[in-house]
Amino acid sequence: MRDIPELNRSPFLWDKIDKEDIQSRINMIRPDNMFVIFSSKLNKKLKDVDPKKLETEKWYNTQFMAENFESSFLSELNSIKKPDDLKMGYPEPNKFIPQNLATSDKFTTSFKTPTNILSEQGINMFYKQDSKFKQPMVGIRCKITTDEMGYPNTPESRIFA
Amino acid sequence: MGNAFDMFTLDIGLTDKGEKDYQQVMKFVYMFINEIKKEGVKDFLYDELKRKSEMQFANEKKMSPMETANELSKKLNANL
Repeated sequence: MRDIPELNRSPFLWDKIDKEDIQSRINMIRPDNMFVIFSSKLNKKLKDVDPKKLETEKWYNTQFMAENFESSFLSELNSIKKPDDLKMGYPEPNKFIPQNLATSDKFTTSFKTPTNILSEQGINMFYKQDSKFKQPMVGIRCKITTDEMGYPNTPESRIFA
Repeated sequence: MGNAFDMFTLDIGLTDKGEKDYQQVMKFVYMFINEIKKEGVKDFLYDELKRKSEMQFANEKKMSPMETANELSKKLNANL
């Protein structure tokens, strides 16, 4: 039995890249292995099909049809290559994922009360930085009120606005 | 991937045009898969996932005692 800290940490650990293992799993994604479920409201094919070929599933009595793809189509999928001018492939490296994961202690000011940073007609925005937990998170809370229909000054607006 | 058996699944929502010609959509999917197979595994993607996971661990929200006990008991059971 492993110890508790290790158990807590283990789901987040990415110690070593096993390229061969990943590649072998990618290589398993092949047309002859695939199973396609196609559902469509536009599909009129079932109406044209021989009723004897239709099956009915037992829970909702929905009619469906199972068929194999043409082997020529599967071969085409297996060898199809993207045209050179089609931009398709891995994404660019994500520059927004930080390289240095240490929490910054740059902001040591202790904010006791929120500061009003924007005050315009109809908008009041307050800001208070957390200097205690140092979590890289932002919490945004909005309270939007409207005076349409006289809200909140009339009983009707309280119900319908 | 699971211990014994798992599936790689792709869910694709189609437009009306895509529904009428879904085999063309499948061709695009395999263009992409074949391209990934050809290019192989990229270190930078693994590195990004690793750093994201580290960030997630460092900033994991504290669970309630009940959730903590529940999660740990599941992990202990799986690692006996």
